[in-house]
Amino acid sequence: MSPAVDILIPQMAAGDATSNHTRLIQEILEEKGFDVRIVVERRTRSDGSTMPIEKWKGGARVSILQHSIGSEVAQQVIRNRSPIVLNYHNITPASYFQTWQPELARSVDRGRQQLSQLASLTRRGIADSEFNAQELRDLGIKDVVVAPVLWQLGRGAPQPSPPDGALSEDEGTVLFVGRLAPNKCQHDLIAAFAVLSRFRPQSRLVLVGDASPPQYLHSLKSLARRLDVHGRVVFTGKVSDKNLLQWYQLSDVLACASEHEGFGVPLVEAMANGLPVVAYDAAAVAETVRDAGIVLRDKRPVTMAVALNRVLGDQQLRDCLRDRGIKSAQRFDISVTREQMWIALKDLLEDRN
Amino acid sequence: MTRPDLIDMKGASAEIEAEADKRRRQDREIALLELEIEQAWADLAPSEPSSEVVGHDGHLLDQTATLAALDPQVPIGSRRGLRGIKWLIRKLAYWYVRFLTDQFNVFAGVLIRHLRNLETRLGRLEDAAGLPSDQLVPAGWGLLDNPSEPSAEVVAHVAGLAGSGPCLVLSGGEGALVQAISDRGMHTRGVEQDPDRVLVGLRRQVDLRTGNLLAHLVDSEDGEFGTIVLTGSVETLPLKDLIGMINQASLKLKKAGRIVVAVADPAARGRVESELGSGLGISPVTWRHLLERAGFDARLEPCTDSRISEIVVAHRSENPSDDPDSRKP
Repeated sequence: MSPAVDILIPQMAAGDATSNHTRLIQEILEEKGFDVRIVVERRTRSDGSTMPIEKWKGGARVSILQHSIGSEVAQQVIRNRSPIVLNYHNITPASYFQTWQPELARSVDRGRQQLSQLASLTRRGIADSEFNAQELRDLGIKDVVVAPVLWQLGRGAPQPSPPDGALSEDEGTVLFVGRLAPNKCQHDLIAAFAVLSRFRPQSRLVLVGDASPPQYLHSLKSLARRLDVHGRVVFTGKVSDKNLLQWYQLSDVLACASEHEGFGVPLVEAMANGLPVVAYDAAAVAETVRDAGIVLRDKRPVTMAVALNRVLGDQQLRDCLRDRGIKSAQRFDISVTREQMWIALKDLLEDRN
Repeated sequence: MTRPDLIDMKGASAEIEAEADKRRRQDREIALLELEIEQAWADLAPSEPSSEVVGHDGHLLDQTATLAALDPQVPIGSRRGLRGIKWLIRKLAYWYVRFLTDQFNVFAGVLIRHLRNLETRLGRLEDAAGLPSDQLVPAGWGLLDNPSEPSAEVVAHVAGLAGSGPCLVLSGGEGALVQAISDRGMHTRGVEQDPDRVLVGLRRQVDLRTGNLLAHLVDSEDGEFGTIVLTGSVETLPLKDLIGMINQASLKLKKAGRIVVAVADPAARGRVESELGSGLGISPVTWRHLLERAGFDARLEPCTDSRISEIVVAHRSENPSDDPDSRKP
């Protein structure tokens, strides 16, 4: 007998935001008494309970497709002409990868092509942000609801106490969390940091995240060397949730120069951890941060550096950003977002009951 | 003191952007640093594939970049037995292949970046030299005879207008002008494209070299010359080359250096010459205009020679940031 809900996703991977989101949807629905099956393109050793896409024939009451890149699961949905709930996390434009990693550029291009084909099969679109929702509406999907990404930072790890507002030992630690990728523009952060170093020679920049593509990391390191800040730029690589929490706690400000964020999980994590945010206004960033951070329309090195210097040097502004951030992040508390996701799916599931 | 809960973040952002602009304006070092940073990243990042350079075969470097990026991820397959075998092989080989491909990709990336830099530099050199490979050239290119040697009057007049040394004469012809300026005690070098003329000139015991005028200028040191004289076969060059020549001359000139242009007005050419030389050479008035646009103070000196009636003398403007258009009558 077919389960009530199928969730289709290219791959379930540890530490991956979409995989965590999928697990949490599974939890919500199972708590509500629905049978949930996860269908994947590539199975890993840890997800023996998942079903390979080749065997999937549809038939569930609701099939939810997690879409953020070109995938075989999306292709199978298109081939089967299966009606779906499209949970859209946005697709980074291929232009960001064209010169760095052409095969990834092809993959995201495929994702975009699939997205327009999926539009006619979509019963309901669920978007992480209003920015993503608008993209779905532009494709002609009428029933679109906004329900943020589900995640719970450091599940099982002790929650840090909010910072007391004083700067860390040096002249300030600037943090960014996210895959080292051209669309995240860590090179702009290094550029801004090179200027900030003129104002605060002992400050440091911490870039948390795995490199994809590796050439980008190589270029970032070369840039830091060329700008003579390599001694104070830390590349942590991928870190555990526990270590990530520690970085949020050890840092003084989160800087984001990303040009494409469908939602911006690290922005919310930073706000939740009382870390002031300075971000470039692109895609869904302003929507996620609202008035709890400094959102800039210009991210040239001097502008970003002046903003970071202001936040690091102005205790009152930092306190204000911390208080507003903590309050604003409550919108994305797991108890709230779980409820939003349930409301987004409820009528579709109960319809056929 | 503002209460923290009353801080307007949009206002604060706008204030920060305004402060950054102010710093750029007031602190030249910061503004230059920003430019240097941008240039540093432009040098390091792979250049965008340009639609202009991609022909039907695609750009060679872009194709190489694509082919050079190995991807060790391979599909596992769906049959149970086969999956198991492939999984085992992949697990055994993956860590090593991943390491190798990462190394290779980084190496290929660096190599391609250097090739792109080389390509950009060659492109810049070609642009500066005005090579006609990718531009439309006037129909009469190469058909128009080189102008005759300057008259004694022009030679004396130009030599009198030459400022400080060293002096570069483009083109040097048979060396009369080079000799006249040298006789005034100034170290003078001439460059002439026509080897026969150079041969004649060498008999005068002057420093006259053969070669492409613009290439010689490009290869010279920045700020090397006190005076640059443009004359002779400059009259038969297309506009793009002349603009390139002005740009290069302004780089190679000392701070207080000057440019002297002694050319005939193309409007005074005979019928055959006008038809063959359509688009080649510009009048002294246009020279003055272009030199002013390049930040020089330029004036026209009358000359009683039958061919060259006006000589342009240009020296650096005292305030180069002034809009040259604002100085026009």
